[in-house]
Order: sequence, then structure tokens, then C-alpha cells
Amino acid sequence: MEFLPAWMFLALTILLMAGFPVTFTLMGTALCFGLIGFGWSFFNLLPLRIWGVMTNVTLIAVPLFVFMGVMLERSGLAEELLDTMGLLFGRIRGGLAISVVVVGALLGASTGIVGATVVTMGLLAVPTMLRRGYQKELATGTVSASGTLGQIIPPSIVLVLIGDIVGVSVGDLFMGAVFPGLLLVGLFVFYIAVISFLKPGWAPAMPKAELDAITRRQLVARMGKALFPPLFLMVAVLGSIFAGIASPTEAAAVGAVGATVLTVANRKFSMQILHEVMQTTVRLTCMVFIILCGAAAFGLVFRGLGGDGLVREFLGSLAHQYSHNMVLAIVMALIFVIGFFLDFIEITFIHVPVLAPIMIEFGFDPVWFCILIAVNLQTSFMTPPFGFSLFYLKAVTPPEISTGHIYRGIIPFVLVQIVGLAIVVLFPQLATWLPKVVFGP
Amino acid sequence: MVNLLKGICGVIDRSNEVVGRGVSWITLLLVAVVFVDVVMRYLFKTSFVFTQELEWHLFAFIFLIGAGYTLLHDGHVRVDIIYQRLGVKGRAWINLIGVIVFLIPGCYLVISTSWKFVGNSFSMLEGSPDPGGIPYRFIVKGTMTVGYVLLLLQGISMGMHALLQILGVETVDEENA
Amino acid sequence: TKEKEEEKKVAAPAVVTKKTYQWRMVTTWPPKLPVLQDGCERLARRIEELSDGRIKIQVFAAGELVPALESFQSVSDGTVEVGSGAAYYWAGKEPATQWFAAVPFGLNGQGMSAWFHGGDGLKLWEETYAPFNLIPRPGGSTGVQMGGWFNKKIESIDDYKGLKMRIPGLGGKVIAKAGGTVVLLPGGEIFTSLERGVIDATEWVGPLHDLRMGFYQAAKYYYYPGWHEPGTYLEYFFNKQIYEGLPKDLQHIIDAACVETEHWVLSQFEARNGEALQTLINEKKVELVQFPDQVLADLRKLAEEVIAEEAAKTPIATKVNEAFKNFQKVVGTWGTVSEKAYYDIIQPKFSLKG
Ligand code: NA
Ligand code: NA
Repeated sequence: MEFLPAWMFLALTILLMAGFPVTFTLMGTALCFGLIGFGWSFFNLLPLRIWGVMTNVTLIAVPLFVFMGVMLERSGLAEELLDTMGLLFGRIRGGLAISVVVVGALLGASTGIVGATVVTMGLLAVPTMLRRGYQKELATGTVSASGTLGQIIPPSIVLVLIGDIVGVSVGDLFMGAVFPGLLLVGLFVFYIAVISFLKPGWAPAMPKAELDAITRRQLVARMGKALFPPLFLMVAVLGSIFAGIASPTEAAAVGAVGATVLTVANRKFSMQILHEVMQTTVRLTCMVFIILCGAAAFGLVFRGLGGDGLVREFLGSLAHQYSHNMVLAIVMALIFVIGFFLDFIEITFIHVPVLAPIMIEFGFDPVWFCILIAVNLQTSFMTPPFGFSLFYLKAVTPPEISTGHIYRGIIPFVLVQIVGLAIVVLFPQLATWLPKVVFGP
Repeated sequence: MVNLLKGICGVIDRSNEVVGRGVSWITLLLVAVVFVDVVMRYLFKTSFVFTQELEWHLFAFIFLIGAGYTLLHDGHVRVDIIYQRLGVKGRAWINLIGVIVFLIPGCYLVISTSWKFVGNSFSMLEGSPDPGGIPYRFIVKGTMTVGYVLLLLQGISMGMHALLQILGVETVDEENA
Repeated sequence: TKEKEEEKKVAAPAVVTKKTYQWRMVTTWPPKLPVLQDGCERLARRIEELSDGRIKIQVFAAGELVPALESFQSVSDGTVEVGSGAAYYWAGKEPATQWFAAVPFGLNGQGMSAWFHGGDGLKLWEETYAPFNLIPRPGGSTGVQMGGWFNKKIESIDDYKGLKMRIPGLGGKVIAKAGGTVVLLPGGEIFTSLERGVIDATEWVGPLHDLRMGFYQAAKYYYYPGWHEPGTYLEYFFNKQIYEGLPKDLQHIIDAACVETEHWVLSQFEARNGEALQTLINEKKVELVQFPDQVLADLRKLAEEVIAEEAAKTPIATKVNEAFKNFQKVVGTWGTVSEKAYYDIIQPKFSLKG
């Protein structure tokens, strides 16, 4: 009975594999374990939690970015763009994947809403990579990993939450996250470069014949034509954020309007396309948020069963038994493992309040510790069975991509992520140097 | 009997299709409202709490009322490692059992508990706590119950389709594939 | 299982077999938020200590069990036994609640305490919460809050025209009347929006909490005083049936623990706001600016209009506002010859520059 929360995780993992939609599996499992653990009346709190999803203003960016992405896709602008990107970056092996990482980092620097980034890039970049003969695993892994970069590259919601709980200023955390974020970008790029060198078939360069068929002049003309829309959108979205015209959430609407304007300007607009865009936006938006409603039920039961107490007790007892560095290692491993099942908000609320005071008492730098947690939490988006980045990608990619491809594809990126975490552990200056320079000690 | 099932499925499917197409216009409205708010604030230095709240009201409306429509188009994510290897009947069995074990109880859970939550809000005609906000908070709360009723209905239709497929009287129709 | 545990304890062979209670408390504060969430945890601990373990309360921060602003509802329907927050959060359910937390240019913390414990404030509060099946208890004051972080100077009321400020509640309505633009932002976007100029200003709490949010890194001026929240009172509330179903001695223990924590909260705020302000002045070199007298006078006129509009919404709000206004007049006169006269004498002895 005491370990009911643990059994619930196990049951969920097995039941998810059956392939029934995730949200209902979550809710059904939660209902079953809730009835065993505490009965019906506690479930009266469920609508309050779903209401929390409905009122989460930050999440409005998701339907808006979906609208933008689908509009670009349906109007054929995306295809043109990606073809050109293929020409530009396709000359070297892995070039296309590397450009995806860079775009992911840019989107991360502007918004940092994982769902929005993954959905946009899943719609636009995955089909191009597949057309260019990329291995399915590498293509999907690149997109789902790059989509999570916004979690660490500031501004980042998770850093604000952690900062609030630990009592470190948001500005310090944002500055502290800059180098670790860039480090991860660098590591992703490095991995892609190495793997495309070792496995030429996974990320092929464009055939020489195709490249030769295009004259330099044609290339420049096509680039001008195809690069204008994305640059225009990039300037519209990022520009409106950095110029202080729109909040990160609102900038998504600027992007959606921008995409529509481009479609009209290119004479690709029709009522047929508008209908398709709107209807696809509804389906993808529902997919994302109905999962969150299922997760709300699961989280409620996890707490109702005392799951957080169990974790807290365990963490508290660690502090007395081992050396400081050992405790840090165990804590990081534990967060990593729990990240397979819980989303980052749950983990932030369960772990950080218990851990932070202990770690600060140990003499670890608070900013550094917060960054470590944030990098670790970023991984939770990428780890199956319950990784939001993976779900979002599954929903927007063509049917020939299965969950299996996505799961296999993410593994190397999770490993890279662990390497990145280890580097920040070994070199705390990566997180602590910049805040001191910018804001003074 | 088979015809009755088919008839019920047809009615549910068509209803959610209509609802979904209606809701799709809200996405366009959402884009417009947020964009206009940004422009008004930047150019004319003015903004209304009413429209800022309208943004998340519309957002909540989209994902709840559109949920049944999304299920109709099999748009809710599955972990399909095993599912995709199964044939039509294997999938139908998973769907039928899933509907009975997970979907119907889950939707019933939300509908029955939210009924109380929403009823409470209706009885006091709850409004926004922020001045200038939308005074109809009870309506947006009500979309929770309505959304899950639509989801439940579509789930029942999904179960019936699965049953018909198991019985071999329905081939996988294009729309639900 | 809760019932089963209780039965077991009842059946235990003790000299005095007393029923024990396992409760949950939901708050509107993030985990570990100084004083606010700490106060809730302190209350739970004190109730357990004073009742010799007969009432055990597990405290959940905002979002852990239910979202921040749903503590009211979950205690009201009895799923959770205790909640905490600030009464103005429930203005959408009943406008009268606002007077029990803060109204612009209203009573300060000392005055609010006098109204609750020396006047008819708590009685009216209980009357207001009764239809929601709740029993309220005062939870201590934040003290006078700060006016907020500004990137534009406020020299006259006209400077509010076109000013984009994150300020919820009645204060926001006053700003809107002054021609300002009220922007509602999720907590996570305030810092970035202020830094980049999406908003020109934001209010938060007082030095202790403002320092944690790091706003001094994103704004030029730190304005005082917080006329819109002059002594915001926090609250604890209990489900009515559950509270009334307790033996009398436990009810007294709860009431005593609430008053004790109420006192602790204001003391903590005063001591630690003072300390944090020193840090802001001396280490962060923050520029403190006082709202000009004329601006405050103009804002006060607008605030009176706003409050009159709110008070007209429901009969109970009208009644509470009348009582509040009368009380403020009486203690205000006294305050003029006591607190104000004294502060005027000592004020110049404290420096606002590092
Ligand atoms: Na970001
Ligand atoms: Na995960």
C-alpha cells in the first residue's frame, strides 16, 4: 500500500504500450489507483486541476505557433524554404540536421515553449529531412531534442519556477543558463557532425548531380525567394519580442499573422487552405492539452497517494548518509529517472523545495545548482514513455514514423544531454561566471 | 442491430464533425484577438483586461470543445510500438477494450466531478476577479463538462466502430484510419 | 483509509481515547515562498503541537494539489479541510471579500488588525464567507507594500496615460481610470516583459519578495508607498462543517494558533522587509522614489470612485464598505496624532541612499 505510487508508474508504463490514446490511459490508470488508495471524493479536485490547464496563459502560444506552422506547410512555403535550406546546408553531410539545431536554439531564445517549438519544426523540418534521405531516427531525434533547448536557453519558464522556489533572482539564472545552453547546442551539433561522418547513409549530403544541375545564379535567385519568408517571420517573431512589442506568448500571434500574410502575398491563399489550417490547428491543440488533462489526473493521484512524501523522505534521508558530492550524484540520477514519468512542473515542485536548502547548506552555489536541475529537467521532455517532446512530435509527423523510430532516435541525444550535465557539474564556472560579470558579485 | 449501431455512430460522428469545423473558426479568432491586442498596446498604448481574458477563454474553448472532433480523426497520441504492428482486428480489440476500461470511466470521472465544480460557479454567476474582466467565468468553466461529454460520445462511437470491425461488418473507414 | 486509521486510534486502549484528524491544507503560494508559504507551514505545525498531535495538517503549495486560485473552492466543497490565500482573490465570487485583504488607500496592517480584533471586521468577514461554507481567520499582514518597479518616472497623474503596468485587482482599476494600460501577465513572464519593455512597470510585494524576483535588474526606479496595497491581510479558512464538527477545545486551539501565526507573519514581514531594503539600497544601489503628494491625492480620488463602484455590486459589499469607511475614519484620526506624528519626527534619521 505504501508503494502504491510506484506500482502506478509501472502499470502506466505497461498500459501505455498497448497503444490506446495516452490521455485516456493516464486517466483510467489514475482513476483505478485513486479508487484503491483514497476513494472517490478526492477526485473532486480534478476539475480544479483541469481548470489550471485552461487558465495557463503561457500555453496559448501553442495553438498560435501551430497555426503558423500549418499555414506555412499547407501553403507550400515551407517546402520551398526547406528545399532551399537543403541546397544551402545539404552540401555537407548532416548539414540539414545541424540547421535544425540552430533554428531550435533561436526559437528557444525567443519563447522556450517546448510544445510550440517541436510542433513547428516537426511539421516543417522532418518531412524535408526524410525527403533528403535522412534516417528516420536521426531526423526525429534531432527535432525532439532541439525543441527542448528552449527549456534551458533563456528566457525559460522552468528557470523562473526554480528561481522562485530557491530564492535566486531570475536575472542571475537567465545569465547563468546562457553558457550551459550554448554548450548543449554545441554538443548536439558535434554529435550530428560525428555521426554523419561515421554513418554516411544516415544524413546524406545532396547528390553531386543535383547540385551541379543548379547554377550559382539560380541558387542565389532561389535563396532570395525562399529565404525571404522565413527571415521575415523570424524578424517578426523574434523582433517583436526583443523590441518589447510583444510578450513571448503574444509573439506567436505575430508569427501566425505573418505566415498568413506571406501566404496571401505569394498567391497561395485560398479558403480551402484556411479551412485545413484551422482544422489541423484544432486537432493538434486538442491533442496537446487533452494529454495535459490526463496528466492532471495522474499527478493528483500521485500526490493523493503520498507519492511526493515518499520521494521527499528518501531525499531527506540521503543527506545524512553520504558525502556532499555523492548526494549530488544520487540526486541528479534520481531526477533523471523520475523524469521518465513526471513532467517538469511536478518535479520542480516535489524535489526542488527539499533539495535546494540541503544543497545550499552543503556550500554548493545556488545558481549553479538551479542550472543543473534545469538541464536535468530538460531531459525529462525527451525520455520515454512520458516525454512531451516525443508525444508532440508523434502527432505531427507522417504516419510512416512510428513511436519506435522516435524512441530509438532520442537515445543518443539523451546521452549527449547527460554528457552536457556532467560538463556543467565539473565546470561550475559555466553557470556562475556570467551572472557575476553582468550583475556584479 | 448492426444497423442501429451504425446509425448511432453516424449521428455522433457527424455531430462532432460539425462541432469541430465550427470550433476551427475560433483558432482564427484567437490569432486575431492576440494580434490586435499587441498592436493596440504598442501603437495606441491601450489594452483591455477583457480581451486579455478572452484570449485564454478562446484557448480553453478550442481544446475542450474540439476534443471529441480530434478523437473522431484519431488525433490523440498513442504509443504505437505494438499497435502499429497489429492488423485491423487487433487494433479494434485494443480500441474496444480501451474505450470500456479507460475512456468511458475517465470521461465519466471528469463529467461527474466537473458537474459540481461548474454548477457551483453557475449558482453564484461567477465573474472575473480582475476589474474589467469577463463577467461570465461560469460559462468558460462549463466548457469542461461539455467538452468531456463530446469526448465520451465520440468514445462510444469509437467503441462501436471497433465492435463492428471485430464482427467483420465494417471495414476500416478512411476517416478513422 | 483515513477513516480506518481513525477507527484504529479510537479503539486503542488509552486512558482518554480522543479522535484524531488528518487534514490537508492548500495555499495560493509557491513552495518555500518566504513568510507567506512558511506561515502556512508554521500554522500546521503549531496546530499539531498545541493539539498534541490530534490534528495533523499536510500543507500543499499552489499547484501541488490544486492550482493557486482554487484553494477557496476546494475547501468550500469540503474536499480539503483548510486553505490559505488573500481574500481579494475571490472578488469574482463575491466583491465584498476585497475589503478583508486590501483596498487602495484603505487601512494599514495595524488598522486591519484593529478592525478584525477590536471592531466588527471579523464578524463581517464570517458573514461574507458563510454562504461559501467557510470560516475565515485573519492570517497576518504583509505590512505596507511597495509601489512597484518603474522604467518611467511618475511626476504627475498624466504620466499614467499610456503607461503599461502589470497590476491586478482594484489597484489596476485605478490605474486604468488614470489612463494607464493594465497588462495581465503570468508570473513567469513578468521579469522578461519588464526588461524588454513590453510593460513599463510592475508591482509585486515588498522588498523581501521583490529582491528575490530580481526586478532591480530590469527596472530603474523603485516607487513607494504601495498605496494600492497598504497592508494586505492574508487569511486562513476552514470548511464550516468540519470546523464546527470539532470538539470545542480543538476549535480554541485552532483559533489561538491562527492569532499567534497572524502576529508572526507581520513581525516577519517588518523585520525582513527592513533587512531586504538595506540590501537593495546598499548593495544593489536601487533608486528609491516617492510618489509625489499630488499624484497620490489624484489617485486617491480615482480610488474612491473605484471602491464606490465595487461596493455597489452586492448588498454585503455595500455593508462591508460602510463599516470599513467608518472604522478607518475613527482610527485614522487617532493615527494622525500617534503614528504619523511620531514617524514624522524620526523619519529624516533614516537614509534612502547607500
Ligand atoms: Na527559452
Ligand atoms: Na520523460
